[in-house]
Amino acid sequence: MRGRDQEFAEFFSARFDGARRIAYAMCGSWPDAEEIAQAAFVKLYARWSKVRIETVDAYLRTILTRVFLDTKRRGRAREQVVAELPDTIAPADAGPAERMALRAALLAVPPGQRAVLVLRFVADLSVEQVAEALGCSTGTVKSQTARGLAALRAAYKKGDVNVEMRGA
Amino acid sequence: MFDNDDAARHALRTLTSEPAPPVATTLDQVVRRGKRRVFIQRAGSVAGVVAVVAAIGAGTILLRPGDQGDGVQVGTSNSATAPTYPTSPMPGWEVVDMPAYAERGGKSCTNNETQVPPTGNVPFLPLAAVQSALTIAVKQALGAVPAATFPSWSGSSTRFLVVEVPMDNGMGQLQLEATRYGGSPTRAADADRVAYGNCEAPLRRTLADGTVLQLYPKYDYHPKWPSQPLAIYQPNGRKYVITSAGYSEADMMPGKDSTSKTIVNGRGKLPTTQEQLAELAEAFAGGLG
Repeated sequence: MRGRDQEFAEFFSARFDGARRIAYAMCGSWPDAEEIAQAAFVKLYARWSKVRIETVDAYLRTILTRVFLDTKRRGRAREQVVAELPDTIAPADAGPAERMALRAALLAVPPGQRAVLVLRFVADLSVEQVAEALGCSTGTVKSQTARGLAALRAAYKKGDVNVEMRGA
Repeated sequence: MFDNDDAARHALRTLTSEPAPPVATTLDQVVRRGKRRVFIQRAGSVAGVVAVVAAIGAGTILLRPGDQGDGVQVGTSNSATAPTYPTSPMPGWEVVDMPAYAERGGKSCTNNETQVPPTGNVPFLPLAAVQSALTIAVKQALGAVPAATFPSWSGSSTRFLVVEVPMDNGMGQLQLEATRYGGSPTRAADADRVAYGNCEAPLRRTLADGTVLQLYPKYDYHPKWPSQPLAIYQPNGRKYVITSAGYSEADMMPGKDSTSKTIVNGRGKLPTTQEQLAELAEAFAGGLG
C-alpha cells in the first residue's frame, strides 16, 4: 500500500504541473486548468493499482482530455458568478501580444478540435498517440487537426492582430 | 501562418512558456479526493450486488410453489445491526452511526449513500469574508494569529484558503476547502460519513441554525504529516472542510522539473487538539453568518 502511494506521489510530483499546462492550453484559464488537472489526478489515483506504469502517461492524457471535454459539455451550467475577478497571469517577457492573440484564437476553436490541436502540437504527441488518448481513429485525428488548424487560422485573422508568429 | 504542422507546433508551443501561477493542488488533496472516489465506486458496486441479490431473493420467494408472496418482506442491508461505537468524548457531540457494512478500522470503506448534487447557484462568499471569519476563529480557538495565508479563491466548484499557525516545533496548517452540496445538511453529512479516515465513526454536532459539523478522526497519511478534517454543512448549501495538518509550506518540496509540491517533512502531530478544531469550526461557522 505504501509503495503504491509512494509511486503515485512521485508521479504526481513529476507530472502535475505539465498536466496543468496542457489543461491551460485547452481551457485558457489557470483556475479551471488547476481543477481539470486535479480532477484528472483524482481519477488516476482511484485507478492507480490497475494502471500499468508504461501506459500511465497516455492514460493521464486521456483522462485530462475527457475531463476538459466534460466541462465543456456541461457548458454554462458549471459557470458561477464570482464576487471578485479571478486571478489572471499577464503574459510576461517576449511576445505577449502574439501569445494573447494566439490564445484567444485557440479558444475560438471548437473544444474537440482544440483538444486535438493541444495534444498534437502543445503536448507534442504523434497522430497515433492522440488517437489513443481520444479513443478515435488516426483518420479522425488527421481530419480534426486540419479542421482545427483552419478554425485557428480563421480566428487568428479575425482577431485582426497584425503580428507574425515568430518562426512560423 | 499555421500553414504546416511544424509552424503550428512552433506557434502553439509558445503558450506553454507563459508564466503560471503557483500550483495550489497538493498531493494530500488529490489522495483524499481519490480515496473518496474509490469509496463511492465501491459503494456503487456494493449497491449493485445488493440489488441483484435482493432481486434474486425476491424472485425465489415469489416463485416458490404455493407461496403467492403476500406479506413477504425482502431483507436488505438494513437487516444488519449497526455496530456499537464508544460514546462521544466531547460534550454536545454525538458519535455518528456508521453503516453496518462499513469495515471499521479497515483500509477500505464503503457507503451506500452518495452526495446529492448541488442545486441552484449558491455563490461563494468573497475571500475577504471567509478569511476574516477564519482568522477570528483561529485566534479564538488557538490564541494565535495566522502567520501566513495562501488563498486560491477563483475556482468555479472548489476554492481553497490555507493559513499557517505556530506549533512548538515549527508551523502547521489549517486548510480550508470551500464547495457546495445538495440536499439537507444531515443528508450530506451522512453521505460523507466515510469520506475520511479508515471507517472510524466521525463525531457530529448540529448548531442552532441547522449547520452540521462533522469531525473525523486523525488520519496519518504519513506519521510525520498527520491531518484531521472537520466538515461544515451550512443550511444555505455551502460546505467547508477545515483540515488541521501537521506540516507547512516549508515542508513541501517542488517536484523535479515541476512547480507542483510534495510534502517531505512534518511536525509529527497536529496544530490543534480535537477540542480546539471543534471550537475553531464552530466559531468559523458562526463568523460567516
